[in-house]
Amino acid sequence: MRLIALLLLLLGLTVQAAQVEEDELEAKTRDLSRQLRCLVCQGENVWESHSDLAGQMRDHVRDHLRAGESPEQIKAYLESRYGDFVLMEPPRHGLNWLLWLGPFVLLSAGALLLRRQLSLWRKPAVKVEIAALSEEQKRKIDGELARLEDE
Amino acid sequence: MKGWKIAIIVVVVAVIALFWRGLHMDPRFIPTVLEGKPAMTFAAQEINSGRIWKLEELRGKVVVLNFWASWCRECRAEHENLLQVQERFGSNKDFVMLGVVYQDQDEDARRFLKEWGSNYPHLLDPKGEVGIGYGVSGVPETFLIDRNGIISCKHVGPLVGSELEKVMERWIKPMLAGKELKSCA
Repeated sequence: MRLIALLLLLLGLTVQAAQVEEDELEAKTRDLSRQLRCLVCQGENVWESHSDLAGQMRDHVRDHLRAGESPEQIKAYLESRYGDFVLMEPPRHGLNWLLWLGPFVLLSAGALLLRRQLSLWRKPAVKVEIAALSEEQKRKIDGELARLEDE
Repeated sequence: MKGWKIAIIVVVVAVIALFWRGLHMDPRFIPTVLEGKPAMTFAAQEINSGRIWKLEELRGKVVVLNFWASWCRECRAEHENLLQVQERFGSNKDFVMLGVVYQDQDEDARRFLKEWGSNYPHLLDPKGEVGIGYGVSGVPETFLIDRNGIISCKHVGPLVGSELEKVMERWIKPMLAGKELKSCA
């Protein structure tokens, strides 16, 4: 009786261990597949797509992970076959920097432009130049003011 | 002020040009990165005879590899032309043409070949590994592999009209004659 119980326990542990291993593989497959673009879909990744090609790519990822390849190796292989396009996130090199920095550059330029335009709107459109008073004019104004005070 | 205006005009024109280009591009088109790279070696089973074909055993020959499927209308359109290619170059011992069945049921592919005829071998790719190895994302796609196992050219779409002419006259013919290909276009 004890022997049977021990065997059942061992069997249970083995099944559980296999389940954990399988779940890890599936989690890794999911993580990597989410980084890969479905090539026949519009903006969908390989994990979420239902297309045949995405299914084959998921199987490819799973098989190669199971064979001991690292996610980087699998990604590099697929990139060598399909180019950068297969990656959901374009790698940061060469012209791809335009994709990464372009929106920020345009946004900053727009903000500067807006700031400049707003400051122009706040200022008067025509600047009135006030000429300095001559000595004679100053004397005349002082005289007038003194006369007003006397009255 | 003048500098600002010029900068704004340049940026606006550049953005419009970018969108304009995007509007006129085929969203399914993926630029190939494989031309000039070694062709992925494979061992695949022929659909009718069961013979295993290995690419590495074809080293020294000019290989045309065509991916197709029975459900693909464009593959049907080009099929007769592919038979013509084999008829014209098949007798040359340095030439091999292979079809690769892509995302298809074996039975459907067999029925297609029985109905439309075939004069060259067709290989099975049940897990899609050969398709992935050649960066295939749709069918038909055709590859020209040189005698050293390097992918010289890739063509996406059916080989009809001027495209067939291009593959026969500007790809296969000069390559069999030992000439350097000027371009794949």
